[in-house]
Amino acid sequence: MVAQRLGRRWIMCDQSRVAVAVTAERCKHAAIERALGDAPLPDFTIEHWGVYEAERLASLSLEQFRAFVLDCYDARLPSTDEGIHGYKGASARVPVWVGPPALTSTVDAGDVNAFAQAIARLDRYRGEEGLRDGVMLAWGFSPGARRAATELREREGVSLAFVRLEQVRIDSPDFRRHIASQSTERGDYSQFLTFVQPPLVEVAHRRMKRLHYEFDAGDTQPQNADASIVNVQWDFDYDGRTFRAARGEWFHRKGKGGAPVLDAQYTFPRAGSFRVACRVQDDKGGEGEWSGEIAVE
Amino acid sequence: MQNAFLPLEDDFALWVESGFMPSEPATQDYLRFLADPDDEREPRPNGLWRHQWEALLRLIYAREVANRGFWEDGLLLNVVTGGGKTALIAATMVWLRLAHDVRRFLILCPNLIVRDRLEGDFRSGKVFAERGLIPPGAIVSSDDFALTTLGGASRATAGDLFGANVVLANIHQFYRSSATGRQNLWSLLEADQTPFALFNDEAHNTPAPEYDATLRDLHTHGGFRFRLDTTATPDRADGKPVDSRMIYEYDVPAALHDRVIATPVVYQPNIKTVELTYTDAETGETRRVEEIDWDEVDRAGLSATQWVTDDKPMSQQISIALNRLGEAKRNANGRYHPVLFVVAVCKADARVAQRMLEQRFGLRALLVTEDEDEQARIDAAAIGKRGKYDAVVSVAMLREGWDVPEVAVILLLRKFGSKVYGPQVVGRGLRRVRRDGIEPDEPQICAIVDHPKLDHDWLWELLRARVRSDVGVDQQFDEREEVGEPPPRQEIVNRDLLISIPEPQEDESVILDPVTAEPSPKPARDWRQQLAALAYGAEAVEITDVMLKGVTGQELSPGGWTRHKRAPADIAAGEGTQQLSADELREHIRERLHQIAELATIEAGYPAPLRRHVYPPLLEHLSERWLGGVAIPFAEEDALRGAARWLHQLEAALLARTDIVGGMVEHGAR
Repeated sequence: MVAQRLGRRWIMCDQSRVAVAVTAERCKHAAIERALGDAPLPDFTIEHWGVYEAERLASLSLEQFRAFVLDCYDARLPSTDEGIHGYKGASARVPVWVGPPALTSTVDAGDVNAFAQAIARLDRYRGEEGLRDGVMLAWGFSPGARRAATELREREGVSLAFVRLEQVRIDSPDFRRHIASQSTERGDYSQFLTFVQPPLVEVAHRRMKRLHYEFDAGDTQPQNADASIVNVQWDFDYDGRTFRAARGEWFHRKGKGGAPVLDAQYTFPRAGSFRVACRVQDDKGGEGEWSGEIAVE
Repeated sequence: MQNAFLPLEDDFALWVESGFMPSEPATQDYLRFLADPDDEREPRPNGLWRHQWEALLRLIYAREVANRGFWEDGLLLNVVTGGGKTALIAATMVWLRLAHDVRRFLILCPNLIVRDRLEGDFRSGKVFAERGLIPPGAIVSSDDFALTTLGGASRATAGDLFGANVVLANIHQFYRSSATGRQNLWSLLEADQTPFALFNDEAHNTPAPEYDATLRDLHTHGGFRFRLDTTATPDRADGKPVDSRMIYEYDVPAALHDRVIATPVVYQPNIKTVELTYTDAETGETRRVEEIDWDEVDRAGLSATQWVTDDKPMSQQISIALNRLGEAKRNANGRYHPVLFVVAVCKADARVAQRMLEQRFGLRALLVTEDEDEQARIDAAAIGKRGKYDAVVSVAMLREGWDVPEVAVILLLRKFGSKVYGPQVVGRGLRRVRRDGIEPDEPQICAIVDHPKLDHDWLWELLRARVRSDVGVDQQFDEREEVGEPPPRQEIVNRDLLISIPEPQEDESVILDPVTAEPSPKPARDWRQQLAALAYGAEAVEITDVMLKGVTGQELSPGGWTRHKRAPADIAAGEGTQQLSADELREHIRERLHQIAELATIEAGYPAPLRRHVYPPLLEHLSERWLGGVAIPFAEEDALRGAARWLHQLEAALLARTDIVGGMVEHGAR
C-alpha cells in the first residue's frame, strides 16, 4: 500500500495461490475504498512461477514446442531425416516424432503412417541392424492412431516390414518419468514438469425467496492430481473484467482449519439481471473461475 | 564392397608398361622418383612399400586416365591396419601438389585418437621426410605441407584456416548444426577459394546424416579437386556402403603373406575350466555370457551397462593372457617392451580389470575411458615407447588410430557383434614392431585371449587367425615354431573370367505397406443432439455385491478323489452393504462423471486436461436425463441413487462415441 501510495512500481511475492488471491483482494478493496488516498488504482498482473501451464505450452510455436518436448524427453535434435523430429537414446538411435502444440490437435492414423514410413526410409531400418522402433510424443492419440500403431506392430512375425511405435502422451505419468529420470545429484527434476490445471468450476443455483439465492460450487472438480479445493470466493456483481470478492467471501471455512465452504447465500439489492462469478483455488496451485448471468426475482 | 578397379586392371597394366603414358608430365616425373631406378614398375627400395606403391598407381590412373565419373565421388583404399595408410595419404598430397597444383589439403578424421595419431605423423613434415616422399630439388618442400590442427594442442580456430596448407580436423568441427562448425566451414570454403583435396580417414565411421551432409558441402564446392577415403573396414557402422569407389584392397591374408602385419593367434580355454559369467554392478544380478544381450550392451552405451566380469573367470583369463605376455617378452628379448591390451565390457568392468592387474598380478596398468583425463590418452599413445605400463585397459576408446606396435596380447572380456568394431579392435595388435635390430620378416605374433562362448569364429576366419582350443590356465607355448608359413596370396589369374555381381537390390520384404486402419470419426458438430439421443438399456443393473452360495472342490488323496463343499455362514440381509449418505452419493456421482469425462477425452485422442470440455455437458446430461432437470447439489437422495445406476452405461456409450466427445472438445461445450 505504501509503495503504491508513493507512486512506486512494485513486485509482491507470496508462496501459494491462496495467499496471493487473498492479498490481491485486499489490494483491490483498498483501492476501491480510497485507502490509497489520491494514488491511482493499481494495475497489476499475477504471475505464478515454477510450474508449466499446459495452455501456455500450447501457445508456443511449432519449433519451440518440439524443442521443449524433445528436451524434456532427453531426445536430441535436430534430425536431417525427413519426418523424424529427433532421436532418443545413448547413441541417439530411436527416432522420435512430436505432435503439434495445440491441445486439440489429435494425432491420427495418417500421422502414424507417415512416421512409420519415415522410419522405414532410414538405412538403419533396411540394414542389418534392423531398427524397428519409434516413439511418438503428443497431447493425445486418436483411436485411429492407436489402431494404426497396433496394426504396424502386429505385422511382426508375419513379415520384416513392421514398426514398433510407442505412443506417449505428453501429460501422462510415463512422460513425466522420463524427466524425473534425468535427475542428478545437482538437480531433482521429479517436479520439473508439472502441468498445472485450473479447477473446473461448476456452480448451481436456486432461488430461496424473493431476491435471496443459494449458490453451490459443489460440482467443481480440481484438475490437478491429488488436489483438493482450499478456497472459494464469490463476486455477486461481477463486471466481467475485475473479480472483486464480496466482503466476507475472501477466505472462509467450516470452523477453524475445517473444509472450505463451497456454497453461499446472497440477497440481491434489487430484482434484475446480475452477473455472478465464483473463483476457486486448489492446494496444488490451480485457480479457476466461473461466471454466469442470473435473472434475480 | 566390390573392387571397382578390377575391370580397369588390363588397361592399367598397359599404362604401367608404357611408362605411365598418358598422364601429366609432372605425374610421370614424380612416379619415376618413387620407382626403383632399375625397374620403374617397382617401388624404390626403402621408399613406399609394394602395396602402397600399387595403391598409389591405381589412384593416379583412376584420376588421370579413367573418366571423370569414375573418381569424382571419391576413391577408397581398403588397407589393413598396419598397412601404412598415412604414408599413402602423404604421397598422394605431394603428387596432387606437383601435378594438379592443389595447395590445400583437408584431412578429416572421426575421433580424437585418430586425430592425435595423424597429427604425430604429419607434424613438422615427419612422414614426408621419413619415407622420402618429396623429390630433392622439386618446387615444393615439406614447408608446403605445414600442418594446422583444428582445436588440437595448437588451439587453431577458424581464423587459422585461412591460408593453411594441411588442415587436420575432426569431422564434427564442420557440422552445420553448431555455430563453430558453420564458422569453420565458412573460413574453409568461402573465405579461401584455393582448390583443395579431401582425405577422409577411417571412412567407415560415417553413419551420421550430418557427416554425409558435411561431405556433400565440401564436394559441391568450386574448389574441390579430389577425395580419397582410407580405411581397413570399408563397411560403415550403419551397414550402408561408403559412397566412394573402392579401387584397391590390401587385406589381412595379403598383409600376412607380405609379413607386413603380425600373425594373429587365438587362445581359448576349455568352457568347463573357465566359465565366463558377469554380475550387474548395480543390481547384483548374475548372468552367463550367453545370457547377455550383447546387441543391447552396444545399444545402451557404455555408461548404461554395468556388467562386470566375475572375479574367477577374469582372473583365469588374465592368467592366460599373462602367460602369452611372458612369451612375447621372451621373443622381444629386451629389444622392445610388449604390452597387454584388455578390452572390457563397460567402464565398471574396466576399473575392476585394472585393479586386478595391479593388485593381484602386480602389473602397471593404464585405464583409458572417457572418464579419464587427457593424460591417459597421451600415455596410451606412448605406452610402447616409455615402458611405464605393462597393460592398458579400455572399453571402446582405443580403436582405429591407436597404433602401438608393442601391443602383443589382447584379452577380450566382451563379445563383438559388429563386423566393423571387432576387426578394428583386434587390429590394434596387428602392427609389427619395426626398429633397428628387428628383421623385417622376423615372425611376430599377436596373441588374442578369447573364449569359445563369445562366438567370435567369424572374426577369426576374417583375420585368418589360427585358433588354439582348450588352452590351460597355466599352459606355456613356444609360439615361434607355431607361426608357420603365411597363407597363400590370392591373385587374379584370368581376368576374362571375372564377373560382376550387382550390388544387392533393395529387399522387398522390408518395404513398409501403409496402414489400412480407418481414420477416426470426425468430431460431431451436432454433439448436443447426438448426446441427447443416446439410448440406454431398458434396465440398468449395477452389481454391488455378490452372495456366495458355497464353494465345491476336489482333492486327490491316496484313497482317490474326495469332494469338499464349504458354504459361508448365512449372511443377514443388508449386512455388508454400505448405504451412502446423500452427500456421499453426490460426491460419488461427481467423481465418476469426472472420471468418465477423462477416460472419454483420452479415448477420443485428446489430452486429459481437455476433459474440462466434457465434464460440464455430462453434468447437464445427467441432470436432464435422470434428475428431472435439477442440479446435483439440489437433487433428492432417491433421484441421485437412481442416476448412479446409469453411470456405467453412460461410460460405455461415451467411450464408443468419440465423435460426440470430439464435438464437445472442438466445437465448444458451453
